[in-house]
Amino acid sequence: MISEHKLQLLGAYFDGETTPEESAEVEGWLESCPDSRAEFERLGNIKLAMATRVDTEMQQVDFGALWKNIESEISKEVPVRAPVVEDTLEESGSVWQKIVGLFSGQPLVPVGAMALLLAAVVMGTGDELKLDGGDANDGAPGTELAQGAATSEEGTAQENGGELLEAQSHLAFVSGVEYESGTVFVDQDMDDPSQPLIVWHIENEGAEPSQGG
Amino acid sequence: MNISSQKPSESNEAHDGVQKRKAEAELIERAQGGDQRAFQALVESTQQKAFAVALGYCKNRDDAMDRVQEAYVKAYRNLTRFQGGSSFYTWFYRILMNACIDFSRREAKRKKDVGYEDGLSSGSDPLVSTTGTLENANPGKSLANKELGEQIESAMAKLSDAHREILVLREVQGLSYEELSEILGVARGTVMSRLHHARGKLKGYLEGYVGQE
Repeated sequence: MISEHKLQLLGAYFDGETTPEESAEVEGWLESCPDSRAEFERLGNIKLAMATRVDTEMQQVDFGALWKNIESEISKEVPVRAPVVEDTLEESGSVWQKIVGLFSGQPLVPVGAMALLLAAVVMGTGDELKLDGGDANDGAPGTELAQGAATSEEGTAQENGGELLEAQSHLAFVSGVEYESGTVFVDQDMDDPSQPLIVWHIENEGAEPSQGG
Repeated sequence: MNISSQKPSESNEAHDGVQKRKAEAELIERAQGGDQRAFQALVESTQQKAFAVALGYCKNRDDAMDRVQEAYVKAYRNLTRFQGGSSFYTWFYRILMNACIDFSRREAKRKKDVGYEDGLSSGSDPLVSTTGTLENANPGKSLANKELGEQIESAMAKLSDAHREILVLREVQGLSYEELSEILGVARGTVMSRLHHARGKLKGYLEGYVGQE
């Protein structure tokens, strides 16, 4: 029977973590004590067994596919800060933030809130992404939006007077939900751009609104 | 440390280490600015170590790869929070561990909820079904590897998170006690003691495979 102290020191010696004095002590045990030698051998077997399992699995892994999957995921996740928002921040940021602040942390937004939201939009304080099934165009200034939580595929986003962001698209993906028509409003906490975008979707303007984000 | 007293090889190693950290810092800065190629380089330099860690928590390589992918995506999303106080891997490792621990807890709960029968030794074991190539190449060796893999997997699953973690980091990744101390945030003496207990437990679970008492 080997003492706990001896076992611990054998482990440290096996790992190459002993001082010269400790190493000399352990080597003495290994020379004279069969139990110590057996224990030392077991440490080697455990290490080998674990390494063998990893090696076996590692040979079967396609690390190229790993990066492709990661790339696919992160390409949807580029932080969005549409330049158009900067111009309207002073005028509209506070209104938006007040509206958003009313419902922060709420999983669902009461329908009544939409009245405020729509009022804000009418006042030109929101950033608006219209989806109307129009033709696709490329290369507009606001295409950063196409990489964010609200993306317009094959679409174009155009800055309009520094206040309105309009995009025409056959299809848009908003927070994993596909909308084929209607109007999507995108808002962001400008004090903390790392916070998720808040996306509002209104199906066929005037109809029942819904929220994503 | 007095540089002039270093041996030439030590001096070269120190120089290489500085260069490596500098190159990594540049990659991180670029990745924080949205450069996906830079992030790809960070992924590729750490993915094998990450996979080895994840495998310690998952029953098969597909689950392990899913955890690795999940962790890299989370890391990318939070990269702007990385202040450079440690290496990228040390920072990323915590994200990976959380993903692995969450997964193993979810799995345990799922099995409990559905009255899952432990099928590790049955023919439906994913590990068994995914080693066909090796079996064909060397049936005798692969059978031994497969059996050993099953035993290791089963034994690792019985360990506590802390014991599993330290064993993977030491036995598979070969981290020194100093590195373990840094990455785990515990004293060197705790590393030595925890490793000793983890090995003792694993040895007990692997009785008959790593040598008799």
